Amino acid sequence: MKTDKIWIGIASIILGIFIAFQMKFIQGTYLNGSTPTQKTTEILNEMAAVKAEKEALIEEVENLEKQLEDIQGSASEESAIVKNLTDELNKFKAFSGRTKVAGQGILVTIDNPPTDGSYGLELNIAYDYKLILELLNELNSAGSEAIAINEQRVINSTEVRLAGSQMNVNTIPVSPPFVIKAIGNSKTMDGALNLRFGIIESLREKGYYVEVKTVENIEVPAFNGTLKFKYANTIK
Amino acid sequence: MKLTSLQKTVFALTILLGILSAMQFRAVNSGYKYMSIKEMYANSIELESQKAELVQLREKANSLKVKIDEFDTARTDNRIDYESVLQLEIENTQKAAGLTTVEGPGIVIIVTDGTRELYENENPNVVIVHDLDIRAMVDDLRNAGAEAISINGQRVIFNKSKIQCTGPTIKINDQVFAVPFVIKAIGDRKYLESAINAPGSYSESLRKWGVFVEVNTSINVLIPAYDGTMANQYVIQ
Repeated sequence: MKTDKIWIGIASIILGIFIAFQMKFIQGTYLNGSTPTQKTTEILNEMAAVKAEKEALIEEVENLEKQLEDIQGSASEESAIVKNLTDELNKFKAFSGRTKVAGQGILVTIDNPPTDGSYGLELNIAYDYKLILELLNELNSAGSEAIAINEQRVINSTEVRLAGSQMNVNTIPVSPPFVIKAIGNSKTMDGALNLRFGIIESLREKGYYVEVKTVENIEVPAFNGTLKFKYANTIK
Repeated sequence: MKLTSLQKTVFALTILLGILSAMQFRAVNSGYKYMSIKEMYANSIELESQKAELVQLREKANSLKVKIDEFDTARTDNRIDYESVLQLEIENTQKAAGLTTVEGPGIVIIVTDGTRELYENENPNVVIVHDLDIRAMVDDLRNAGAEAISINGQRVIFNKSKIQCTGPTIKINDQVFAVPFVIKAIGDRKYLESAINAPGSYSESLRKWGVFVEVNTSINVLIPAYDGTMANQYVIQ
């Protein structure tokens, strides 16, 4: 009787130690040392702060752009040559993707399938970024004039790249669902994507959730980054 | 009724348990949102992405401020010619749009169909260069910071360049090309070379399949301007 109690006591102590170890381990590996609740509030607070700052910055950028336009506009009123040059500048700016544009187009949404506990392997569209690349190329083939992935405008230097377990576009990490907007002939683009054995079909076959919608008027944002040329020099 | 010492201990411990669980409950429930570790992970990625956008926007705001300053002084100061400032800006924009011929240090890649003997019943497609191979290589190069890319003398730009399979040939910028493909890129030579040679890159798998891929660095690579159409039909500013 007495030895039984002693054994139970020892077993409880061992169990206690194991539980403590387990908790420490989980906190150490997944949460960098803080408890789940602390980390959650931390993330949510930081997210709110960052979003607020982003809104403010977007507004600032818009104001600055308007200011610049005003200066250029008032200058071009003074002489015809300057006006022509300004028009030319705006044309090239639009061509390189630095202006916000709108028009008819399509909206493609790609998302991971809902996780199912019974599957060991989880599908992640970021790992299949080559399919996204192919989708972009199909859109280009179908005559799209402006494309954006999750509000990142696709321009000459845009890369679509797996980085860790997420995808980078314009070096900005983006996470699913991916919303791809394209301006162009919406019927042509819709048909090109939904081709039999086409890109949408192969995405769906892999198990991803894909939705294609033609839209009357869609807005594609401007490229927000700054391009710096370090190696390439223009020759005339 | 007299309590035995065991009953007293149990009583005291029960009270302690009650207090502790109440404290725990309050700590967990005081305005905190419950989130699974997976959700938390997704949120931290989102946070990272927002922060990266913030950095991007800040940089853009700063460059805009510099530009406003520049144009403003050019307009008010009589010593500076406004037209030449504007002309310079046009040239820079053209360069960014890929409408100028550029030169600089970079790499030259030659890709062509493999010449090895096929195994029995092997699909010949594995030793043939496809449009998607070229696309993946272009993406690898962009990721390594290529500033300008051309394929067989055709400048690759994003919104107008398409790399399409047309049977035995590949169409690039609406012009048809067959093997060998010569891809040129300007940028940091080391980065670009390793983008093609590194294990895990797309070209590595191409080589494994038997496709011929050769990379050479060069001090000076010339990449022509995009000379296709610039017209847009559907875009409204």
